[in-house]
Amino acid sequence: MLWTHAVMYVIAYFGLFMTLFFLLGYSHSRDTKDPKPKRFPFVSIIITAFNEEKAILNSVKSVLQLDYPKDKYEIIVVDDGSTDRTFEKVSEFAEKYGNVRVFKKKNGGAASAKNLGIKKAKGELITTLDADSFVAKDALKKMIGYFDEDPKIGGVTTSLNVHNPRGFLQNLQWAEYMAGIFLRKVFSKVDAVVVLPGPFSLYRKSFFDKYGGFEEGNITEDTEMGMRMQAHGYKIRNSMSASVYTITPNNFRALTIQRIRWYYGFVRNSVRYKRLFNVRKYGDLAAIILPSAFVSVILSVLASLLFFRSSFLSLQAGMNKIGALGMSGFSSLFRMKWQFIWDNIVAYATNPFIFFIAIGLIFSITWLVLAQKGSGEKRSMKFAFFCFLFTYGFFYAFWWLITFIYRGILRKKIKWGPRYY
Amino acid sequence: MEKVMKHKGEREIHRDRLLATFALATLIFIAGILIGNAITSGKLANIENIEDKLRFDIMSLELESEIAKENSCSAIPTTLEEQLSETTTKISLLEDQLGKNNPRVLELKKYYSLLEIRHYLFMQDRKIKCGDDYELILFFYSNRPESIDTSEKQGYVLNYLKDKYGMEKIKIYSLDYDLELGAIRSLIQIYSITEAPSIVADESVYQGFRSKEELESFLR
Repeated sequence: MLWTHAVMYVIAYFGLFMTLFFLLGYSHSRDTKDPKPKRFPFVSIIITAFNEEKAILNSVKSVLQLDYPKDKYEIIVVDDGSTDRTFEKVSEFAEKYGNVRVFKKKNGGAASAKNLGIKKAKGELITTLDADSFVAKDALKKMIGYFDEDPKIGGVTTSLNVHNPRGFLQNLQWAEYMAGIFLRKVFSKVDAVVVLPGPFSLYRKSFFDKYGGFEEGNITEDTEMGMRMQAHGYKIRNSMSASVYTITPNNFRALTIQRIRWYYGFVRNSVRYKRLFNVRKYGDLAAIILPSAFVSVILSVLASLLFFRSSFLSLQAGMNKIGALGMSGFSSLFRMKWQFIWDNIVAYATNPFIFFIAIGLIFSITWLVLAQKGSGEKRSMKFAFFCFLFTYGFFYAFWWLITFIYRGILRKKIKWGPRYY
Repeated sequence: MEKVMKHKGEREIHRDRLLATFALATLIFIAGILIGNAITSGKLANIENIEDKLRFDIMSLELESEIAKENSCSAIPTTLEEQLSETTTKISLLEDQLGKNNPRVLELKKYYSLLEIRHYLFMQDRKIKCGDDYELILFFYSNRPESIDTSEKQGYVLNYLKDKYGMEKIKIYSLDYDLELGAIRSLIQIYSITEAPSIVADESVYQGFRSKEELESFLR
């Protein structure tokens, strides 16, 4: 057996195992429907902003429209040292509403802005939002029921969706977010959520009182918070139908910078909370979810390298031909006989891996469709799914490689960068 | 599935779910491998078919050359030449899929080489006897790492010439320099060939890569 075949079999088995684990996890009956709230606890909604004079009012308005008793929530806007008119705009707007308070501080990053909000908050539950995210009317109502199920539930995550996706990159991210929606629900069911995404994750304030607020200077403070909760024995649940929409990067550079921050942040926080890998204490999270995250990175990089190796070899053969024949070689590349093309198609279709590729596609589509249904997404996602199924693996591998080169080899510092959540 | 798996206390490994996942994944994986094997053995069976056909062709060619000895220069068996070139494509695809050193592929190549050499001798006889106007080229290539690139390049050049002048004018017989086959070894000895790629055209030997311009001037 060729070594490339051996690697492909390992990738196929791992992919099958994990997808089935997720699908079986998803079929678990717990938390399939959001628990009905028995009461409406007071909630503080913290909106952080840095130079967001254009977008900030939309975020505040989306929160004001929430289907939740008006006397049961407050909005705290924290301006993190904006140099534009963000503070003035919100202050003006807030005068009309009794439950909106605005604070301004020196610029110190998202975590410090959230922490100021937590200090000022009166709520039993706290949630955060940034200026480029919007909340569905019924989101909060769908989330609060979980907190009454168990006092050890420290946080509830939402169904994080993409606002108005346009073009290839945003559609790719849209389907990726859908996959994330599915995974977050699975992780919720198997008690393995480790990331509380920035937009509108809901926290129990008593956790902050006991274990402190967001870690300032941590490049992925939402992952740190999730891991900290898990480490202290708290649980994190997910409401799949509580939709929150966020604006995603629309150019490759911004997207790559965001991913370097996410991925490196995930690795750093995993090293820091390595005790979460203790199988006896943390169950499925330690045995399956966290290790699989790292294995999937290695295998996706390997799979992409294999793909590019075979593409390179075909390209090399073509170049060889042109090298041997000059321009007449170039034109002969286009003079292939039908029999030759047909033989090649048959060779691909009868590749032994075709079965695994087909199964992989079927499982991935099932996964995405379940997320689309579960989150109540009505928009057509065909193009997004297409972009995702055929290209995402390469992007994923590329971003991890870049993160490794950027931080591991070049030793460059990673900052928060543009304000994408 | 839910009923089969008991949900034990939280923060444990859910062994039942893990076992179910393991069993299902292994089952599907084995099914995949079996399907893959079935496809591969289908391809191997296909090799047997090609071999049978080649055996038949070799015998038929023997008979044709016997008949040609007795009779005048009648029609050239061109269908066989077309089949030869189709078989070349099939063999190179099989080499890609099953590996260049797959024993079954190597065996198939031996049959194919025998037929090629037989055809070469037949056409050589005819050329002398009937004064036919075509070039016969023996092309020795190698799949060894140090010579595979130049061999491939030489192959492209020869294909180009075949396309340009037509199968009636140029007949190319590609032989694997490293194949353990008595007939090939004899040819290598007769023409004192020491490296691949090498070309034998009109009893002249050209060792090493030759560009299309060089070959065209030789052939003229």
